[in-house]
Amino acid sequence: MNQGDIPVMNEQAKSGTGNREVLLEVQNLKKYFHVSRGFGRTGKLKAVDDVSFQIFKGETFGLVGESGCGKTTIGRTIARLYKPTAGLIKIGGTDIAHLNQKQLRPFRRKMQVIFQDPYASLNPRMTVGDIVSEPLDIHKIAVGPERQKKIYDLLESVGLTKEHANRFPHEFSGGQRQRIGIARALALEPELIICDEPISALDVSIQAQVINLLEDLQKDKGLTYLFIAHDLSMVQHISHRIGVMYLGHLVELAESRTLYDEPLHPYTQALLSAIPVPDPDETSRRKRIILEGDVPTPIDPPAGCPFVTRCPKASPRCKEERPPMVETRPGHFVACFVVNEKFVTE
Amino acid sequence: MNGKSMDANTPAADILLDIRQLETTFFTHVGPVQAVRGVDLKVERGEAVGIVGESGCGKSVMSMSIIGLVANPGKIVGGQIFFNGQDLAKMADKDLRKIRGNKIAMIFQDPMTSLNPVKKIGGQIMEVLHLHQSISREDARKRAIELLNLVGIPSPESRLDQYPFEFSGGMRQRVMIAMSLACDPDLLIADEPTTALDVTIQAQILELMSDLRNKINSSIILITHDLGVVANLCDSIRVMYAGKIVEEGKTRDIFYEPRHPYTWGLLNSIPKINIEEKERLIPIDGQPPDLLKPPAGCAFAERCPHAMAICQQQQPPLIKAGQGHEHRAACWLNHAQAEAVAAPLFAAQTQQDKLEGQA
Repeated sequence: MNQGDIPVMNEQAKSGTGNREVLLEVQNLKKYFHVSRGFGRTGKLKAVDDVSFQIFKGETFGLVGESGCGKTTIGRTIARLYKPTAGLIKIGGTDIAHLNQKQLRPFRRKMQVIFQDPYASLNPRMTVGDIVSEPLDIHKIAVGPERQKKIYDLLESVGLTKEHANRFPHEFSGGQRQRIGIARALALEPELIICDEPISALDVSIQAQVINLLEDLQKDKGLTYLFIAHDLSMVQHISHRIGVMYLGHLVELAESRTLYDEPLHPYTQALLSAIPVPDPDETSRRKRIILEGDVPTPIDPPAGCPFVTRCPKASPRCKEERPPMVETRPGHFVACFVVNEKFVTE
Repeated sequence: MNGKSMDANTPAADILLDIRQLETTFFTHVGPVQAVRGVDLKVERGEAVGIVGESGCGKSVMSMSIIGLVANPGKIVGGQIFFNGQDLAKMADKDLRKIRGNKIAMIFQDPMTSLNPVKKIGGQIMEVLHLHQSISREDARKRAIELLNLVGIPSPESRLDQYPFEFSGGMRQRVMIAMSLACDPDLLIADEPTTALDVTIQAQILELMSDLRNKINSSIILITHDLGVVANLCDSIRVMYAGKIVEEGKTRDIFYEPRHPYTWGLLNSIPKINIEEKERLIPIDGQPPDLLKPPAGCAFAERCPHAMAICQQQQPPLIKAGQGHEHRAACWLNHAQAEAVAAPLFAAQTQQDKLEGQA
């Protein structure tokens, strides 16, 4: 990163977040998919609709929400695996939202993705060494003995050994495969790693291994993570700040501790109360908010607030207007009319 | 809790399901995989039993063994499964079919694939009724509406004539539950009933299941990898590892006084959301053993931080552990001659301590 860029970015940093360097800034990002609805009719699936947030250097930014809320689409759009419909994606100050594949290459080195399914994301016909070094080959970074050494270093950094380099993915367990995926993501020494549900396919005891590995790597290499998951307790554990998504919209954004202690958006409150706690006494004591119904389809979302159809606190205004993201307290953003009115009157 | 008397001399009549030394093996081309290696399980009438374990621990194979649906090349190679006094393990498939879906019903993980996509919901529920009861079309339809009502599906009359694709994931799971309850089963086996669902939908289904527990008399076996799911719903818990039950006891015993290092490991692997300071997770190192050649000693010894010499050589039986009346753990640490090992902190315990601190 160019040192000269830093003061400019500090000015961009929003209130309550101090003088921290912004690594990634997403502004009004939209990603619509065209879908066929049968009989020649087409529709727009608004997977991500007008989402803005920043990720600071060295932090873990968690993105949570239920399936279909657009969290994975955001990750993939930031990695430019999808072309955004509208909006800006600034990495280190440069907008990459509309660059072509060739222009994107240097930026691909700055961010890498770890995928959810460690079974589907590794080519079964390639050796582990080749999988891990493929990014090096594509970017023509290392050849010969240097490449070999790099492979061994990468494998060791994720807790595998160099003997593993000549084996094939099917010889490994789920947790080990995810380590291979992490080693591949580290090969280009990226600044930002987009972790798209990296532990969802793993067993509980193995999840903790991978989470600890990710935390260690962050400490050693100063990595920044965009951590996408639906498991709220894991996201809270690993993230510094968390964004909650619903139906393509960001509805709440706060420091992870604040979000869990004082969730403001009715959806966040319901989501948190729905986590099954491994503690019988706590479970019977806790008041659970059970939401009625299901998430509406993003092809035909409600006109006003996306959550209005299930919200226990909805007012008539919520049906007509979309609530903007408002900073209720420093660093705590909520998109809800009911909550915001309460804060104004206070 | 059902408040049943937990006398040591509880008459055998109270036991609905009694599995003794069940062994199920898959004869694969690389050799026999011993998926279930001698499991004893008793389920009382009206009791909800949670079976917890990670993938490959044998929890699903065990439940499939109960209803005789172990897929080829799997076979029950040993043990008995007494259900209402009959041994299901020895029963002919023809007779088993009369029990399956009738006296023992099952809810599967994936409601998307376990319903027939080309048949209306109503027809699928009524099929179960016609198969097991002599009932007229009208009565079957009435019963189907009743069932959909019971599981909280709005306007059941019109929903009966819809196809599965017209239902969302949570609604399909409700339909599955309605189907399983059609014949008032004595035993309901739910295999990861909420794993495929989103958190808020999972909460709806769990709420429904605990609500149903008060309305129906069925015993429930709930199979899950999520300790949070059983905490709310079950009277007692069995923790499975590598084809064996490693710890069993009342729900409170398992959460507040676990006595097996694997249970400690499971509880410690879960992040604690109510703790002020962020702590590092304590994972269980290594991986479960290969059940093609299971170890001679304790299957967990290789990953166990407290393993002793005997653990490598001899399999620990379920030994009485802790204060709980029916609390037993298959770990040599609970043997009278073993040195006491302090259990590491785990989620529930920490909260207990917190409460005591406040009091």
